[in-house]
Amino acid sequence: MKKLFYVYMIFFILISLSISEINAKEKQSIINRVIKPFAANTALGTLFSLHGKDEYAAIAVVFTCNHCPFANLYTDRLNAFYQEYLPKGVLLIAINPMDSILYEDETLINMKTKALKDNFLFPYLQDADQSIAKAFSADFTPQVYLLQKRHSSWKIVYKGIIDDNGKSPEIARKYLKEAADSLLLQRPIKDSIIESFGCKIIYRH
Amino acid sequence: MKSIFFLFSCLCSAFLSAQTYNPLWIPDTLSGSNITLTIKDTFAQLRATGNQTITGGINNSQFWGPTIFINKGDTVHMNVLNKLNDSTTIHWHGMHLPAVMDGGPHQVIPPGTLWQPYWKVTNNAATYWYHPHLHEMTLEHLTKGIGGFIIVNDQEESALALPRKYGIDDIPLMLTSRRYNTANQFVVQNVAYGDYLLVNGTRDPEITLPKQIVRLRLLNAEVERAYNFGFSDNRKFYIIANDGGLLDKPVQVSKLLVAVGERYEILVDLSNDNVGSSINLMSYNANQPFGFPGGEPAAQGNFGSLLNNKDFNCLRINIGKSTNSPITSIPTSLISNQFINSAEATVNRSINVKGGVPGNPTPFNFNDKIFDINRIDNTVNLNAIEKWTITNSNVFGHTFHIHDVQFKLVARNGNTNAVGLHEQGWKDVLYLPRNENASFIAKFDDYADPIHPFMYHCHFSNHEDGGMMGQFVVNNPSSIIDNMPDESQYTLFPNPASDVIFMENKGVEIYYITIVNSVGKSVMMLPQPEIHKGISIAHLPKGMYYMQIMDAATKTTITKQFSK
Repeated sequence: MKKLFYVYMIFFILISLSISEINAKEKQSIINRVIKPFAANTALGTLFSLHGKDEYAAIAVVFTCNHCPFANLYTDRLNAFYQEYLPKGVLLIAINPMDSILYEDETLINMKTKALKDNFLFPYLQDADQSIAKAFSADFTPQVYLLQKRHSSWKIVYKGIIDDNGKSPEIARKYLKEAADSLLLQRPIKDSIIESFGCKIIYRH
Repeated sequence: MKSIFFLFSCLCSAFLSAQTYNPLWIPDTLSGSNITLTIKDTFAQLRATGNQTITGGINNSQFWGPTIFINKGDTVHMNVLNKLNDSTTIHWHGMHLPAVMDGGPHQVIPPGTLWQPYWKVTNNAATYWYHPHLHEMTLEHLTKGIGGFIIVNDQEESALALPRKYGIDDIPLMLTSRRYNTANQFVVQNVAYGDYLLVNGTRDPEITLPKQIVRLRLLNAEVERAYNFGFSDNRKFYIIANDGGLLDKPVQVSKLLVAVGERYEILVDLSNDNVGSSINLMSYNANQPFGFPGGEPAAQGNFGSLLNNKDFNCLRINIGKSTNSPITSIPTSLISNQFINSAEATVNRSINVKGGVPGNPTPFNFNDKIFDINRIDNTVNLNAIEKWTITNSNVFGHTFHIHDVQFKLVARNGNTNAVGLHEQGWKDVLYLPRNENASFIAKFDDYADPIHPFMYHCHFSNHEDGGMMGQFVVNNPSSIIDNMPDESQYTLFPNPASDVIFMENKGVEIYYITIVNSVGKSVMMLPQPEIHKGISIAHLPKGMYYMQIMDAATKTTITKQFSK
């Protein structure tokens, strides 16, 4: 009985160690990762390219989608962020990484309907082959990355949540704003990786 | 030291008396011969403070779906639309139906696809449930809260004076628990036990029940934990039904062990309680024998939990006024079950629990074979009566569930007298403590299918996902193999079609139809469709479609094109 208890405990310790190791590894592999310029169609039929966006100090890349009810809670907050931070030199773009062949709700035409209905102020890109999401190692919608231009390449400086309360923005801690403010003030971002969650991005193999 | 202890006790009791409860959520109901279940991603406020939790809902629910009411003898048509962005399945747990309608790991519903199984209900009145069963994803999808109750009614049950006012004196209780990470999200990996109880998705639930005899339908929908139910005042209560039907007569107990996947219906007499008083439905899980799921002493880690090895409250019951025409007495007898005689079994099978030994990488499995979706483990002849003996000379307790049939437990450890009085009815799940074996007999009638198997597995979803599952086909040795059909035997009309498309099939029996859109994505799955009624395609967008038609005799697929 006791022996088995010890076996359970050792299991637990080993797994806890491996979890903290994973977190450290994720931080190492994500933060400062260089994102090569990408281009993609937007819901409104234009082409968005990361090339030549030199006028911005940072770009907030939000992975979101049409169907996810939790992601949908953030529409107003994303519009507000876009309006508040664009004059400060931070551009917000949204990218839909969902497999639109498998999941019809996520097609470009449905993205257009949504962008118009919800009055998206920001570009809403379709990641048709999921290559952009793969380059970021995006896991969920909503999930946000902050990119900063350093030595002429865009590097990830924040990965995580927009804020920590989907339904009650008034009591939420605003992690994305905190990261953007730190960046604009040229201070280090204290919490550069925040555990995010939402609707899982299923990658086509 | 003593005074500190006293102070601590006072503080604890003050804290306990200040405990706040939340109204128990009672799932919405669906009934009739056409049932629509739309499975979707959603979120719910499951913790008292902080962020919402990503969950899976059905129709308008956020965690756990509506209760389906169906009648024995009716044919029920299910319309299961998967709006998750992930494939899943829905298994009708406990139902006797064709394997191709069963919703096991072979009936994968891709995202955006409508799956339309149907069957004639032959099950007895009892409490069943539906839940996802996609191999290696069952734990994750169940954890999200996808599932719901199925309540079958029949004439024998309806003739009895039993509480059946749903949500008033007849209460479905789905018990499970969850572990949360710091962001209030479910932890799925390496978690056998949750830390926080959810009853129908409600934390710290309370309900007001009338001062009369009430019926509770208990379902253990945990990953591993068993519940040893009882009431805070140790009152006696009466078991009237288990998994597959009513018992012959109520069984009086003061404790009831309900293992994962099992259902028990109990009657509780509240007629002598004062209006305004309260009792707790408890689980007395402290100091259980080693191997009891949830008895491990650790408070954290893979096999630990804040609820482990503890007695804990499951439901606060407040006593309210009695209803009009209340049930006032416990019936002395219920129904006369006609069970199969042990001696009639012509085949004996042995299933042995293997693997799962700490330190050994081989997961729990049966007979040293990890589940392989392409391997049929057993072939059972149609109408055979078989005796299966499941032996667990292993490190831990398990629950064993078999699809297709309701079985009669006939012996524990070879001893016919060791089967509990409460286990005497029809069952589809049995609890198998460590170092024990259990034997059941079952008749495999009605539905033969040489290619679509039924499953048997440990109902601990982490064990099942890990490979503690086998599959059997029911074979009809007298079936005749026909010639393969060719394309000319099927004609679709009208083509183009608008709301309904019909098929002329020249007497070929259809086994399966899948409708695929122009980009190759499946949009409808119709097992054994009632083709003479046509196929409703009203909900499909305009476009070109392919109908993949598989015949019953040769299982040959032929593709026809149509437009809408």
